Amino acid sequence: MSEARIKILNAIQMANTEISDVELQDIEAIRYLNKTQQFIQILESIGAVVKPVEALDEVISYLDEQIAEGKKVVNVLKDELINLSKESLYDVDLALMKGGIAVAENGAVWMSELNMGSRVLPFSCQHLLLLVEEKNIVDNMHDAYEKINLNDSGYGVFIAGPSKTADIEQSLVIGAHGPIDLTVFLI
Amino acid sequence: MTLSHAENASKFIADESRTDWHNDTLWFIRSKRDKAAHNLPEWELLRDKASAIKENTLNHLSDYLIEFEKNALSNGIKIHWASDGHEHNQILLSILKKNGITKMVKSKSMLTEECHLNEFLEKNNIKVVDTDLGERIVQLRNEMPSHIVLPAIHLKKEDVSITFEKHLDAEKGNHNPVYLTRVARKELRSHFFQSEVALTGVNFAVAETGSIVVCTNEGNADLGVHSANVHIASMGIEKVIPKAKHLSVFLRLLARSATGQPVTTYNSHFTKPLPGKELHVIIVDNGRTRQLAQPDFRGSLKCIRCAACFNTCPVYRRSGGHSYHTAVAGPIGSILSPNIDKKKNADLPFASTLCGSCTNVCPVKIDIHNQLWKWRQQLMKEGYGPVSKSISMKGMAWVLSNPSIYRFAGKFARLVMRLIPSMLGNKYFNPWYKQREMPAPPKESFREWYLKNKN
Repeated sequence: MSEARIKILNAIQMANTEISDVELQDIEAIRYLNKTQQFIQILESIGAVVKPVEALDEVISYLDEQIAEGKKVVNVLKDELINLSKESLYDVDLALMKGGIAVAENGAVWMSELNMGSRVLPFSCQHLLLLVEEKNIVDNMHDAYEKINLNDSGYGVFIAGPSKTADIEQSLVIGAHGPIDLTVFLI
Repeated sequence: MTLSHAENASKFIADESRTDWHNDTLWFIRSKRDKAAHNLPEWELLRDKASAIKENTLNHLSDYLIEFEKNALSNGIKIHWASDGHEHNQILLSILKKNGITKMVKSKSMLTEECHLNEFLEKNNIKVVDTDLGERIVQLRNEMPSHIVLPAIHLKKEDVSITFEKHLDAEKGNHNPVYLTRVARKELRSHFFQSEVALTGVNFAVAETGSIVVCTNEGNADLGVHSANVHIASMGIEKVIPKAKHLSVFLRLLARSATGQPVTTYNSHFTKPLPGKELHVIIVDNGRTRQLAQPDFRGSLKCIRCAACFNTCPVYRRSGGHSYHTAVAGPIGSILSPNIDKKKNADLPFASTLCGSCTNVCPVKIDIHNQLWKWRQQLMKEGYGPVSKSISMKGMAWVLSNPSIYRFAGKFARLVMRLIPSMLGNKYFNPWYKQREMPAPPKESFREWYLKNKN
């Protein structure tokens, strides 16, 4: 064990000789009359595009149109990227993947690495497409974490909208280093 | 020698229109924060809860750190401990050397700013590329970040354009923020792609699962980490929280308090490195246990670095982040920095009006203005305070405790102000009179008036 570890832990114990404990209580968090409507509204306000669809076919035919236009498309739902190199992953125009729990209060969608194909793909592609099932929408973050187990996979991320920055004079620019847009297909 | 906050601030405010712009921009962010907060009826309960979780964490900090370490190790994460910035930098360098690395991409980490990591690595011939856009801008300009969330908030788009023209081959005179962001995007994506080692900060470390959570809007942390073989994450000991479900409380508060967004764009949970890749976490003290042992200041360790206190502070807004001459500026920085170096940072707790606005917006309910006031007392008592203040305070105490001397002094001051107003109002003797006019002195004191008129 390292010397610093012992030193730090001892110093903490010395500092914590007189403490009074606090009780942690759960709080009532916001609920929405219409979760789906709230989810769509907030996603649009943070720069994402929402397209309600009836069936997966609609999404696939959209992808086919993009391929016909010469775009490089990866459909993770169909395991299309088993052999992609790092170079190719940075070269992807559109990537479609399945989202998990979706949060009405802030538009965030939980993405487990099991549904990404590659950890870098949701960030390296130019246009990210997420397929979100309406039944997976929860009201707030507390409900979301009730349904997520971090030990299910090695990596997971809440994604809320396309990459963005306001680092130059506070002007909002959609498309920082990651995807320049995000489309959520709500099914 | 480092200039004091007041000396730096006087340079900052020399450009009046820029000062006004800075002030207005930060106030705009503060109002966005208000709007986001008001959208949640439970906002105040959330703040209470966040504060209580942090209180609980600090009270059992060693237990949670040990639990985090145990779970992280079983996830395949390598854990390192560093007593101070120097040890942190040495550990990092040894990881780089072991992997034969000479270049590293780095997403925002205020801890590494605190440890002066970039300077250290440059001296050891390691190239560091900051990948947060604001940090990249200030890095190219050889400056420090002036704000912990908005590192380049002191700059105008014209400044960024000149910097990018010089370093990134951008078009001359193109000030369009979209264009400038795209120029940086192109440069940084090539760095991400080539990166072998990526360094990130840590927003939260979960004891229960051994995970670390990193929040960005740009996606720069993830692009760097997932493209590299080695991920190094630096965290202060106070970043640990007990359970995964507590993340919900902090993620709800963090972005709303920081920028008024409902949540940061990317909230990444790293639990296990991919097979064949490495994830190192360096747990750093650097004075935090000293702060923990001070009942007056231990609460400052609850900070989640949202910078709401910066955006609301009338002194920060009108003096700029660089005036604070430390890695973390603003009100919270003025509590954290004297703990790291009392002598160098004794001026900072005085760079406040103690108006309490910081305390009102703090998502984890740190009593920031009280702690600033307590630092003032402690620093004066220990002899670190500005000499002029200590002499004038002693003088004032003597005058105020002697009624006859008080009356004489009042009469004398009124006379002097009438006859030679330049003496008291002299900005060299008294910096308070810069940009201020003295009111006309009354002919008599209230006491004199009262004695004359009481019948």
